Amino acid sequence: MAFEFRLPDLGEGIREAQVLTWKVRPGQAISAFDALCEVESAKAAVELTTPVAGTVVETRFSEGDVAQLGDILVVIETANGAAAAEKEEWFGIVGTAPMPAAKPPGGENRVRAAPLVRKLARERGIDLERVTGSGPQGRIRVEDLDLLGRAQPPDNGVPESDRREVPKVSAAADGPSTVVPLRGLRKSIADHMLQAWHHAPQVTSMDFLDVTELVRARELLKVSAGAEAVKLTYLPFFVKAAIEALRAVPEANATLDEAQQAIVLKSEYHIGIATAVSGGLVVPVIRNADRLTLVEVAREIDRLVSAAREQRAEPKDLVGSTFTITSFGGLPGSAIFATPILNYPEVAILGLGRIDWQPRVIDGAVVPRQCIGASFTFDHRVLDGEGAGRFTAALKRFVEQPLELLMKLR
Amino acid sequence: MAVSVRSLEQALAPSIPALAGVPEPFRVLDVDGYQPELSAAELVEMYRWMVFGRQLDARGLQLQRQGRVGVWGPLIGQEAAQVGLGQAMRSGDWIFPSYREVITLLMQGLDLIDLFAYYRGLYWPAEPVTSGVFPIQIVIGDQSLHAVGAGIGFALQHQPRAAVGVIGDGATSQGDFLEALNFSGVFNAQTVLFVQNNQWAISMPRSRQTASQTIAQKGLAQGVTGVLVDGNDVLAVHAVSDWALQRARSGEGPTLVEALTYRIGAHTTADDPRRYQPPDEIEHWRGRDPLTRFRAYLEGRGLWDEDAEQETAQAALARIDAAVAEAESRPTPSLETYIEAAR
Amino acid sequence: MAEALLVEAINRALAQALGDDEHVVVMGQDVGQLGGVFRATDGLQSRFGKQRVFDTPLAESAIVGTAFGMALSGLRPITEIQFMGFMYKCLDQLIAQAGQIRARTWGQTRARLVVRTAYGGGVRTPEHHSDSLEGLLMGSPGVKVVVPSTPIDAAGLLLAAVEESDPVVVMEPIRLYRAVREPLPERLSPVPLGRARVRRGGDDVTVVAWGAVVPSALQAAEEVAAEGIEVEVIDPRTLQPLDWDTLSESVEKTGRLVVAHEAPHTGGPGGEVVAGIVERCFYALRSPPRRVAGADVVYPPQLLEDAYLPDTARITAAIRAAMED
Repeated sequence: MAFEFRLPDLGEGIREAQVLTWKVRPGQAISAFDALCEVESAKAAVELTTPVAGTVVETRFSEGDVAQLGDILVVIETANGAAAAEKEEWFGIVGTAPMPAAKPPGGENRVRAAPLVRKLARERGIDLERVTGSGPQGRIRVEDLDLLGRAQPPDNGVPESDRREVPKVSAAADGPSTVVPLRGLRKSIADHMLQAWHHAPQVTSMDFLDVTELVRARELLKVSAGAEAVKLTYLPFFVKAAIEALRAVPEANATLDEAQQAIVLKSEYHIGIATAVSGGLVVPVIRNADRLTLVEVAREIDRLVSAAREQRAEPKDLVGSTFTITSFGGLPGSAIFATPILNYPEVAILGLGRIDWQPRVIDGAVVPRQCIGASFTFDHRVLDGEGAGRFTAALKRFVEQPLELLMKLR
Repeated sequence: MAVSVRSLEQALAPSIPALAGVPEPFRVLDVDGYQPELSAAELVEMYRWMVFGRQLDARGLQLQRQGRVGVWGPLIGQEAAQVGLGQAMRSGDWIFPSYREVITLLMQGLDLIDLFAYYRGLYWPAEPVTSGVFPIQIVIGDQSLHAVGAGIGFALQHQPRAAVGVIGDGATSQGDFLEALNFSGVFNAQTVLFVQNNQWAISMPRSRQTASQTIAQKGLAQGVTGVLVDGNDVLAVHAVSDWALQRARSGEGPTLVEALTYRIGAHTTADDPRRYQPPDEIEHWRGRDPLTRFRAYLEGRGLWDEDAEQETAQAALARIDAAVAEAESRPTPSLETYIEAAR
Repeated sequence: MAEALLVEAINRALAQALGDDEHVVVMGQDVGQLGGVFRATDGLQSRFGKQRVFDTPLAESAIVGTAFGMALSGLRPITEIQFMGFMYKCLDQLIAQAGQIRARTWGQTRARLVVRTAYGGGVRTPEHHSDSLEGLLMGSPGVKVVVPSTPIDAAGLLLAAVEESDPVVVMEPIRLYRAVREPLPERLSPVPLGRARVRRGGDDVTVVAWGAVVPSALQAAEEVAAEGIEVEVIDPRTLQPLDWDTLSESVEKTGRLVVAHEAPHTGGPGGEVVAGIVERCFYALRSPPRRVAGADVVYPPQLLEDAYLPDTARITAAIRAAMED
């Protein structure tokens, strides 16, 4: 694999160095600690040696050029290819973390009130802008809220005594329990799920897909993928197959704009991959997945999932999907089929269950085949069973006969 | 093998500062007929350590220029001052080093892999109180107080062991060093304060570091015995170190040892000595290379040859490279592990 | 039970520590023969001998630096830095050396070291003798800080500090050495580090104060009680680590906070208490947290120090301001 030797920090604060002389040339075989070149920095002329053995592929920068800290000076082909470690993949059922609001909700900051007062106002459903404060500079005090509570009628016609947010669970009746407030990612997921549930009438069609050929294809391709330092799972294949199915059924790559009362067909293919992270789920997005090769899709999935799990995903990576895939089959005991909830406002989502041996009838005989459960949930306002069927048929074609993807190769 | 304290004291007398006269650096390698009380095997062992140190230093520099260690402090030229001391230390003795005497630390049992783990950018992985090898000290001179404190502790607890504080010539200007010297005398600490006078503190030459003619005589003002030794004569360094350590262990008192050597390389890889270190001075001291001198002595006694030199250098490199690879393959502990351990 | 002054309680605790563990040594300037400039170590050298209680040359850095070396060798040194204003000289050895050894060795090596020091003003000492440096120490990971305001706490915190495996600075308020007395049991008990003490209960305002400011805070609480304001006075006793549970429980209840200390205002320890409470109790706060602290100026000369120090009047003023929601 290619090793890139970069200009190291030659001393405290050195940011650049001039290449004086090269001691190697492309094609040359070298051993660890052989001299590569001599460079001059502000402080001294130093000889740089190679940390690895191998063959020099190319030297960048000519003698006399100035390189910056971190610039690649030499590319060296080392003997051993990288073996990517197989990691257990598991994704969860869809959820999204909405972006933090850029600005706090307007209005509240023009009001002068202590944190306790604001909290009480929120709890009581009092709009602080409508309150006259009795404190200095119009500051609103707790007493002002108390007065208000008595003078004004409740907003929604519900008598104040009945206006509670959530009935308190009585410990005596239900037995001892632990209260975990809904916060952060969990709260976002809860809100998002509810929103999808409320807005879109969702139907799920389910079928087995025979992945015996896919398993074989992946086995064959794993080695070359590994040579490119990429871990090839089934997911990139499904991404590619799903894109072909979306081409066949464009209404599945869309949103329903309720305000405009229109179906918005998307011309780009940004595929969201539902990912389990600590505390819940996020959906990082592979942008323009149709323009990426299988290996590039695999690499992008790896990047996005790692970033999401390590909580360093950038906001732009977590928005903008046109279609989502959620894979819940990775854990032992996981389901074959499920009814995934839409990643609202998308109109379709593909759920992938576990891969397992199933008895299939082929040419009149019952044979064991490796199969995956595919659960396709769609927004019935936009798609009907017929469209869903066309989608799954297209999906089936490219999943069960992976070579069919060659027909679509440009 | 111990040098008899009494027999050496007479030979050392001209090197021990007194109110009148200037001490002479104690040396034995150039003295005809000097018979060290060390076996042939021990002599060869010492030279092997010096060769190892020379190879380690060259490798360290290369690793820094490959971006694999953050900074390296060259020790070239100072091998005798380190090995002579290391050979005289016993297990049970403690060493509080600065940052340059890595050979001594390795001789006292520091794992080479642990050393490279530290240089890669982690904190000290070895357990100091058990091993007696304390972490590298960056705040110049502070370790002299720790060595004296430990030496006082050993004395109060009646333990026949010594604490060695190794410092450079620059550190002798620090208040902490002078306070340490003073405390060591007052409390009769079981301590040796060992000054590796390599004559440069970054760009400050020894002549500008102190108006005192020698560092060893600073002990005189504090009531502490000092002794000046040729730091590039490994047998002399060994003899003096052994004498001082025995004095410390037996409760006879602390010693200030000044080993006169020379910094052939830069202060660290971040330094450019061409801006201040006279080239002819470097050349002069290259001509007094401690390895060359001791090798000549060994060859004169039929204990060494070119084959042994080659084989030792190769073996050293192999051992170093293996340790580097091992250190680099160790997983980096997480921040949580560090916080957990540190709090 | 016989009564003891704060400084006598310290003396008794030192004696108990020396008697319980032969590795404990007491060292510092004038602690042996003289028994300490405040008599905190009075009689200890004649009782335990010069190997256990000894005078050192005049060198703060060396006192702490050699004590660190001794601690490594297995002793448990209790050092004394005569006045906190002189601690600047030993901060390197205390913080960068003893305080950092644990982190620098991944937890394998710990420095069992106690530094007792007399601090604080109001006793007409010359320059440099009244400085309060707890802010510097609190911001230095690796060092713990305790500050008693009663004889029982003085003895108890010192005993707990001796048991700690990491460096602990015990700040003894000079003004209280001979001003507070209470009955002490024969056998003294350690007071756990990191545990605050609620000196007075109340629902309206939380006042956090330590050292010599505690009596002023208690007096201020008495004064405003006549106006119907009930103040809860909390003495943190340990400044690093702070007892956040006790502090935040109190502010959750009262919604109002006043922090009072002698150290200067800006960058001072009060800021840490306020920030920590705001983080934890934001939605309970009814008014802005307030600090009553030394002015942002070098500790003044003797004639001006009463005007400088946080006293009952300034604390009551802060309490009343906090009550104005």
